[in-house]
Amino acid sequence: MSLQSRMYDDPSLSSDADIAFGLPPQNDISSDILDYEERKLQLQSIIEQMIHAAPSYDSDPVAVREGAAATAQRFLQVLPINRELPKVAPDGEGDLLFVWEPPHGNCIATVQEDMLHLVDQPGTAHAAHIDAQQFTGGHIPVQILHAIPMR
Amino acid sequence: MPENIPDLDDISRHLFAPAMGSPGGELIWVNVFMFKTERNFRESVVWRKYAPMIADVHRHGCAKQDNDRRNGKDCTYFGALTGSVHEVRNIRSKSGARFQVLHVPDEGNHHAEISYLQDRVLTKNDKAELKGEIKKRFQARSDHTCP
Repeated sequence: MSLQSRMYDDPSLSSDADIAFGLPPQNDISSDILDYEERKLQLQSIIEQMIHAAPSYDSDPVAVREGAAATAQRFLQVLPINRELPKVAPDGEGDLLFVWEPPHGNCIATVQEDMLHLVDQPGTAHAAHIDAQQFTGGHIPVQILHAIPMR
Repeated sequence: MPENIPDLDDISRHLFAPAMGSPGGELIWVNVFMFKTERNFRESVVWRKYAPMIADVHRHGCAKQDNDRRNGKDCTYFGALTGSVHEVRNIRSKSGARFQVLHVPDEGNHHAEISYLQDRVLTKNDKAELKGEIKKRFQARSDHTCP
């Protein structure tokens, strides 16, 4: 579904109930969705570029594997709009990191080809590792989705 | 000859633009400590025993910048971060994975390396958690502009 059709086909975006419950008016919501989708597209573009040459401290480019990049792009495609978008970086081993830092959450996901790993609340007494969850598109594994901060 | 680095000593990490950030700007932490496959998951630091003044650390940074530029690399040295060996060795992932700090004097007596301690098979989450934690141990920043 295109962004435009999502904006106009979703009745929740134009109902009087939104205003009655104190939500922003339709134009504000539409603008928010556009900004969110635009940032997603930017992230996907950055990931695409990383296949060829991701930055590295010593100026020797770090390769990101195409399979990891494709999986990361699929992840962003299906990430629900009520979740914060991550920062993205190469992990130095051919895979990608998605990082949510305070105040926008506190977790790190590593994206391999068709596989997700996530550490929630790293470095705290509540740290939790969710290892090796298969992800081929469609739905983000529930355990991982639950750890991704709401916006 | 490699020496044992005591816990109480300090180590410093050089900062290079553009990959790690920019002078006076925010750092790109995932690039400051990446632990790349190509470098066998090791990151270089300056052992302050052999570079006691921050000016000594910057002198080594300027020299590395000059050397890298001679090799055609785009890099600008802009300062260093300092932390304690004890703090780095004390980092633990949820499953107990940790770093080691070793003296590797092949590039001079001041040269040391941080790497994963290979006492177990590290998972992706172990590595991500260790990388996320190490930045908290290098908060003392000294900016520099090479002459």
